Amino acid sequence: MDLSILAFGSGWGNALARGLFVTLALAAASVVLGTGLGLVGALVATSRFRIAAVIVGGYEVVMRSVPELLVIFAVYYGFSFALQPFLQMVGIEGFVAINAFWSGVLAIGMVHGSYCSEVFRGAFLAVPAGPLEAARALGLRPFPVFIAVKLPLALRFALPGLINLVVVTLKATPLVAAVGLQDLLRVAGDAGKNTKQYLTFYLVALAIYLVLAVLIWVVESRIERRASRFLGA
Amino acid sequence: MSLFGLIGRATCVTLFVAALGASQAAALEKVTVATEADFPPFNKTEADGSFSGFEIDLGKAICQRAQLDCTWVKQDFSGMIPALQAKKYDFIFSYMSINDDRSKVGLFSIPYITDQFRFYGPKGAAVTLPGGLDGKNVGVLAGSTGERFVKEKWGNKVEVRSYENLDQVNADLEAGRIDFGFNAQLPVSVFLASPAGAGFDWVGPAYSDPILGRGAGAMFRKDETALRDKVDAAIRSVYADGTFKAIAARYFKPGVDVSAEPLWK
Repeated sequence: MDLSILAFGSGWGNALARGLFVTLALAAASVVLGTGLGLVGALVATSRFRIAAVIVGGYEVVMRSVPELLVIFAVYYGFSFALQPFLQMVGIEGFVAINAFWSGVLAIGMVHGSYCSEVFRGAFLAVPAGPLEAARALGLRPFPVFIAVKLPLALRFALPGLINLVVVTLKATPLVAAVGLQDLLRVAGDAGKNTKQYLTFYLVALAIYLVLAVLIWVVESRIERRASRFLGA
Repeated sequence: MSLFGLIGRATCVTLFVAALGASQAAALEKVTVATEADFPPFNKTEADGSFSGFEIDLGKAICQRAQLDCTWVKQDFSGMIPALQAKKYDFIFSYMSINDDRSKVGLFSIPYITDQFRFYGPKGAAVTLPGGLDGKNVGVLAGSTGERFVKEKWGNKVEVRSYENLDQVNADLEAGRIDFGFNAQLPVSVFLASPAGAGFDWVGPAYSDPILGRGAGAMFRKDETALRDKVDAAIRSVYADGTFKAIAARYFKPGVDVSAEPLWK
């Protein structure tokens, strides 16, 4: 096997590196957006606002039930048209395009968020009543109780689940290639098409995804150990 | 970052880019052009991310003639028309065969190239068409005119397998998962001339049919008449001064006639 096709410069090394960067950027932005959405979703779902909780719950059931590819298509092809009436309401005329990358971030972030929400919800419910009562007894108002006591405790419970979702979302990123994004797997495919050495490039992509997943798990176990050092359990 | 922050940022960037485009409109009109970048010898992707091939060279010459500043983007063929309608780019220059169905949803330039379609399969497969295909598997490209043609002419007598790109058709042909392929002749001739294609050959005659289209043209949204007219004039111009012939000579063997001129002259 001639490995010069993988070289940086003359071979496909640079292209693969660019693809890897796109994959990482897409996964990172989706995880940030999704985790934020998930947190908000969980707060609404566990709040006193019944109607909002039902709406958010329904949205999340939809997001978890339909294929991610469909969400990506809906955002990429439909988002700009769906946005137009709202923009007109605030006086912006014309067409606002959303490119493949941000379509992917929005779509994958929304799906990621719907799963995160479930993880957060479970974590909030797992926080024991004792520390919360103690905080209230000290005279803390609801918001400081949440920020200083409930959220830090809940995060410890949520962490393993959240990190697992990061790996799931990393693996979902190649779907965005369907709307033209040049992510790692897509570049590997292009390289295969150009050189007819499909197996070589798919094996390289496989190795990179494997390394990324292992790295995420290593980081997770580190954080988990550090986060639970005061818990004594 | 919140969802709205995100949308806000994306919106700002888009508006900024749009404003930038408008300010340069006086010099060259900025347009975005879609290519599959995956259909040699017409278009393919290079290691540095650039596109190459006959259509890319021809397209660049046409853009120059039409005073257009063209940016090329890559898009899978099967999603190409929906993305055109969703305004992801201004026109398609990617071996889009002109036929009635597509003309209903978009606007075509005059054809810039023409090619016939043909079956191909294992060497020595003594098949008489059309009956010899009964019960066989035929590989075609998803969303292509070739797919429509085989489905329409052979119906359920053959099993049509649709693929995302020609490499997948050829790989399954080599692996024996399909019996024949059906596609435009020029891209297939690249495969037949390669070592992998050594055991395969044409089967039956070459087809021209209204379903298969009247050559390939640039495809625009319905309301883009002005842009279409510019491109039409540029196509006539590259044919008239020999530019088309010079580019074709770089990609096709002598004697292979891809000129679409008879279709509009």
